[in-house]
Amino acid sequence: MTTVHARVFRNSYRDSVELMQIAAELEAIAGVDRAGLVMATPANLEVLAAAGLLSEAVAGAAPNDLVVALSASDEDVVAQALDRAAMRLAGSGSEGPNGTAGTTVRTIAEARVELGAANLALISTPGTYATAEALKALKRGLHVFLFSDNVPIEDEIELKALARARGLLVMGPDCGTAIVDGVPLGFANAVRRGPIGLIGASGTGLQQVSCLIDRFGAGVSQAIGVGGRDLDERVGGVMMLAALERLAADSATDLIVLISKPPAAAVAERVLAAAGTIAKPVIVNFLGGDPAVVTAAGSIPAATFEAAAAIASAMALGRPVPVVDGLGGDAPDTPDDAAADAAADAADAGQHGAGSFAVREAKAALDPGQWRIRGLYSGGSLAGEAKLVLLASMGADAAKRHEVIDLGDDEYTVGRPHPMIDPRLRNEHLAAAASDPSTAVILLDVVIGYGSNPDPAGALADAIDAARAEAARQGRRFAVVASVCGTSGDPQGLAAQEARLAQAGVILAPSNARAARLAARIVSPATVAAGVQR
Amino acid sequence: MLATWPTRTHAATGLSDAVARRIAAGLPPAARIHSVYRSVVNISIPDGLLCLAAPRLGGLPNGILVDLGPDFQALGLRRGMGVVATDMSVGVPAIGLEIDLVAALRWSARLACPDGGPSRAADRWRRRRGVAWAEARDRAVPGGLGALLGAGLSRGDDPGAVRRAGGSVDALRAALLAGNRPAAHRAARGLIGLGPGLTPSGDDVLVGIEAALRALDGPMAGFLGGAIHDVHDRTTVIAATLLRHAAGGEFAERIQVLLAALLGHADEAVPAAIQRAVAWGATSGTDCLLGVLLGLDIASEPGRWAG
Repeated sequence: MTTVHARVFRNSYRDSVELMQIAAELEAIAGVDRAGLVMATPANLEVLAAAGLLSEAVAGAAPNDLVVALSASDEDVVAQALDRAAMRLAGSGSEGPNGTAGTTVRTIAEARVELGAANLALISTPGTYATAEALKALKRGLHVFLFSDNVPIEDEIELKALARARGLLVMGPDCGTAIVDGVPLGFANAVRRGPIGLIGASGTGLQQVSCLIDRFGAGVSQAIGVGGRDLDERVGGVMMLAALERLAADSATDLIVLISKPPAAAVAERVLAAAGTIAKPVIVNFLGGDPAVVTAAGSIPAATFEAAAAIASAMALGRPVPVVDGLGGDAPDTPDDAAADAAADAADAGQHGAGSFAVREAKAALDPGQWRIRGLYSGGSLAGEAKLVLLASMGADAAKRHEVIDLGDDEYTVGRPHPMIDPRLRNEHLAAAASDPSTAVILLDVVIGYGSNPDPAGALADAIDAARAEAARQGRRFAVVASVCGTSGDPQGLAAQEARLAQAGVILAPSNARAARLAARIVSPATVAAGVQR
Repeated sequence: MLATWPTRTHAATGLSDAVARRIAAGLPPAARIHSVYRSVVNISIPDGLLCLAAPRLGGLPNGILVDLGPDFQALGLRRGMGVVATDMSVGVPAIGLEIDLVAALRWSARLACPDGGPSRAADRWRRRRGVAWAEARDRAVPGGLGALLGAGLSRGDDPGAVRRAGGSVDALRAALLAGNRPAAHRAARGLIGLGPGLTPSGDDVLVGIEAALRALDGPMAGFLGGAIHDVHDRTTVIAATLLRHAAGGEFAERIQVLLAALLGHADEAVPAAIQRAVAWGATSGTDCLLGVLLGLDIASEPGRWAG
């Protein structure tokens, strides 16, 4: 028996993104069929009425009032959902550690009073307000984890100069990831603690390296995100340098890994010079950087996130340091695909068992017109790494014909949640890619951990099933290759997420770099050339 | 209290002609703080709202631009506090706040005539409309009426509201093309107050249409005036205020900037202008853009400039 209820919040103004989020939260409560939150204008009330969501409680509501309308299975569910809505609208949607409502503080000053020993502020406001909040925090002697994006670079320079002068860190802006004293901040994973200190100007790069370190059996002392622009010439790597000094002095850190998208040359030189003065080993993964420059500066180069994690883990565990391949892996460059598959399988499949059978089967299923790799990424650094791997694996001519897009880029996320939180944007792109007759391989990253969607693999698997069905209707099949960035301790569970993807026929690789190499092997340069000519 | 007032004075950096006129005419004794947000303070007056806004929001037809710090809510302003004004200042005596208007730049909320006149601007629009619509379709954010740009429903859209709006938009377009004002008023009223947000989506669409019709000097420019006589009963007070300004030919700076790019000489300015337009607010930017594109199409229909 469905019951319909509504509650009116007088003179309550919220923007529509927030209202959509609350509606989605309410609809996720078991027993809630539909939820609508709108201003009580006559037009909106008519729409609610047409949807069967209007109840007597709304009588007397005026255009400046907000209506929360619900249809649900029973009264208890309705009461629970309306209370939830009221709590969210009051700005206290989170619960305290004991399931009780936590203390609500509205300013950093109040928070400082509430938590006397706090030494770090996590700021996640819209970018236009973030600088002011960060300044307040720094002036109160707090380190800053600045999750907000859209902060002007001039503000970033000012904030970091102030932080440097006061001996503080500004992690960000647009900093997705950090693990500070074992506490994950932003998008981060449940990683074993250990002696490896990480500094990253790359959110998902930091996540990938920390997760692979965990997978290899080693652990992380601190993971410090510095924001994707820190190594821009204008910012000058000021926070990477500050973090390097801190980890150099940290007794719990034995070796250090630096991670970044391609940095400005002058900044890279400065950072490498500083790294060269540290007594601890420093492994450098500047995507697309020249390994000879790193070696000449006295550090250890790593071409991929996986290589950085493998070298650091081996050193931390006292094992022989592996001879790590370059971006393209050690797949032999031979026209004999079968021999190449057999040789490369051993290197790429690892313990995942995505062996030659899966690759050959994927190849065999393709029509001659299917030649394109479409990478649909939620992580910007992972997308960047995949592009470089494809370039190195298949050469520039072939690689440029494929497409790897970062759906977390501002271009795609205006007014929408990040695809690591909300899978809908990527699922839309996935459906579109699958309906393109030239698509041979869809290449994906699945990032789990704190802050990410509770079940990204589940959401993705359903979309893959639907896309496959549509392609099959048109007489085509395509391959899906993915890696899951996460650990067994993450709330979603690495094994469970991988199992769900495997069930959907996804070819899994243990790292993003290996996933990209697998994709490149399914679509050989010869296939691309033939497909393009058609 | 008055003996010590003001205790803090902030210099406004800009205000619209409409606000200057309103203040020069004298604020009524009933002027009160209506609502306070981080970057905006709304002041209720009998016919709508005056708005103190952070300069980064750009000119608003009902706005005074003034930097009151990173969080206006920290000033201690409360709903219901009295507001006083002279032609040189606006103040809230209860907290000793004064906004000095003397040095503020006057800004016209009225649209400038496009370069070369409306006829040539309409030619330019016809040439680039395909690009603009495609860009808008790609950029539309979900939740409002972006589906009517042609991209189809997204998750997060309210199908009921979109369907209803679609019917009203079709009827409005037909009425405006036919020059049928009563029918246009009926159709417009179907959009008022419809959809989510502080300014419901339908209202944003109407403001966009009116702005575009006026920019190209279309024969149905001003149609909105006949549809909003009871607007305060039909939508939020914030939206009602902006609809009244639009009906009087006054628009926010961001809408003027968008129209200048869509009707200007540089084809390459169009995608960036659309990208900026959709970034405004949550869904308001997309909804207003939809209205602007519809309005430009209507006002530039072939034959409209013949002779």
